Amino acid sequence: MKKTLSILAAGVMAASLMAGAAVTAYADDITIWVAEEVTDFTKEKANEFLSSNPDFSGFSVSVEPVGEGDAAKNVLTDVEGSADLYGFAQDQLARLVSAQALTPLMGDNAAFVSENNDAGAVSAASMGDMIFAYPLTSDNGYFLYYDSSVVTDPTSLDQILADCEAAGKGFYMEINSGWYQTAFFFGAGCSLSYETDEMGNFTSCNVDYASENGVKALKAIIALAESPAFHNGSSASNAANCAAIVSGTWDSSVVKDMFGDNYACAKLPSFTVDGEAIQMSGFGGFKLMGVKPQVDADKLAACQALAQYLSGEEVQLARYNAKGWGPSNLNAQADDAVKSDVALSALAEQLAYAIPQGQYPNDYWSLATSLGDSVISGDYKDASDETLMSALQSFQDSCISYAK
Amino acid sequence: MTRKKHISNAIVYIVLIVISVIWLFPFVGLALQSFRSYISEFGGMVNYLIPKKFTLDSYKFLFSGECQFPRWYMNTLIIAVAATVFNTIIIICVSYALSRLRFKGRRALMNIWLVLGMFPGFLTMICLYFLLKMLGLTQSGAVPGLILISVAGAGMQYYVCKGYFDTLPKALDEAARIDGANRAQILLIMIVPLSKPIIIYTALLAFMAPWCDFVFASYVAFGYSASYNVAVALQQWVWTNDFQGYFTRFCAGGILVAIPVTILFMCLQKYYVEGVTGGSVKG
Repeated sequence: MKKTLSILAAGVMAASLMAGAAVTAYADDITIWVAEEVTDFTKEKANEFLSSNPDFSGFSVSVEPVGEGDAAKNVLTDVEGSADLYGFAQDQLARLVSAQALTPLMGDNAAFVSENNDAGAVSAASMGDMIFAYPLTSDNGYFLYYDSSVVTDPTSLDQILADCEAAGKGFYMEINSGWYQTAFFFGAGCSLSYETDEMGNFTSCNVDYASENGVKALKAIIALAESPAFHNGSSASNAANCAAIVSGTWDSSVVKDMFGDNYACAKLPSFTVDGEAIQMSGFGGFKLMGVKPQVDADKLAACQALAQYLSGEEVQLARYNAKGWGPSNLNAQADDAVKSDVALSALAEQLAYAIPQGQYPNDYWSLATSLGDSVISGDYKDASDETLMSALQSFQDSCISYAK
Repeated sequence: MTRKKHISNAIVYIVLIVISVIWLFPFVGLALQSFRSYISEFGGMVNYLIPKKFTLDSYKFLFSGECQFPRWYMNTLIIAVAATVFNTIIIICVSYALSRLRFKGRRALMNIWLVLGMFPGFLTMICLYFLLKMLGLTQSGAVPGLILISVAGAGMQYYVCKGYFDTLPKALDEAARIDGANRAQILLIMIVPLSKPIIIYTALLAFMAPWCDFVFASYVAFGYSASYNVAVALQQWVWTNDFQGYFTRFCAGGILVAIPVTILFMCLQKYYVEGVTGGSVKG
């Protein structure tokens, strides 16, 4: 028995030695997770940075393609094993902060972010009064792409649907997504937001979906779902026979290929309920780059400097020119090339009506999906206002219950 | 009478044809889509099945160096082949011991393994992940890590093989013992050649599990693309927004994954059926 124990103990020691060796071997390597599209771009820029900064010459970078939409899921799988720098969509900030997967920015770093980026991007990177990440883009919102040979008036949803129906083509909008749904609810004047503390916990919820305005919005969604031209979806590459789609700038090249010379963009249309025209609203979103907490102070300094460089004016502009990502940096936004982009202009126009996206609990997204799914499956077809109100009341109660 | 037979035959065939069309449709769809060009046509999903022009663009892309497909394929192959070799050896040894040797606690051991084998492997996933991480076998070391995962519990899958060994007469062993053979010689020279179907069956099963594995592979290799297997790598082409219009390339990758398995099964089908039924004669 004693012998087995000692063998076991030796084994554990050997294993921990190996683990130690494995960790030190990678200590000088800064790993970066970004969207696949910009993997090579990021690698090139990061290497340029390291070669032009002799202070950090001991470090090397490796860049891996990991989607920004899944960043939180991947990082939270194992914070220690995840990348040192990673790009993520801002709706994941709360989860990442509460898992202590982000280094808060202090002093000059915080000032760099707040002075050089647009207000929406700065608030998206903040939790409480603290800034936790470097904004990369201000282009995470949605607007309308349309085929100008089919759609005659992109400002009215009814007209778009009528044109699509007449041409036998589809109108795509992902109404079972909590992200796209807000176009109706926020447009009708409802609000839904959560307060968070610096630990990333949700402390309270401001919501008024169970109201006259909420019913109007829900009615508009139901009416949309009943149109034969309607398809639930937001990915242009999965959209077949499409004449109009609500999506974001990431789809611009696919949509351009799809519509060819008839490619056109506009802010979201207005919808009509009981004779009243209401402009769609929605979320404005941002991509951020976070720095994982580090044990080694030198490495942390290198990571911070690299993140600052990758989110700075020069690289944001280069990223726009190479990949079409809309900058959050104020100077880069003022560049002529950025100003003349059709999709970015449409988005900029839409962002004037949009609500900067705050933090939402995971449960909200699934709740919104189930609401959208029941609309699509026809549960609320010809429902009375009372039925809709009670559905929204229970939606609202659930939203409030997530903040406790 | 014959008329009745004709009618019933007709009904049976219609039902069979309908079922096979339904069953084959996804495979035919996958194959057809993989020949659609993502360059001259469109790489995403479309509402027609037959490509306007058949091209090999998607396949060329996989081997063009723009993605790491050959690497992912090799990873999958290395894991699957290593797992097959080790699993088969371990299972044969364990089965032989349980079938021929009598030792204290044999029954208890068999029962415990049987019960342990009932738990789905991924229940222990998180534990395994951290254990592998301590050994440096995650992310960049994911390939040996995944081999370890598939080999570690192999011995517990002894039952079909042991059942088959039980059907071989013990008198053979005894005769060999009298002639001076030791246990290893009996196993290698006599039992193994007699058990070809069950060995092939065991090897095929051992090959299939890591070949199709997604759950473990995605956890152990997470965020390190050079260690991905094909399933993990391909799924991100359809599930993440970063990859737009990769659907045809996904289909092409899927076809390439299916080919070796199809060939293996076609060649070994005869043994496979014998293997499945062989162990059930006496268990």
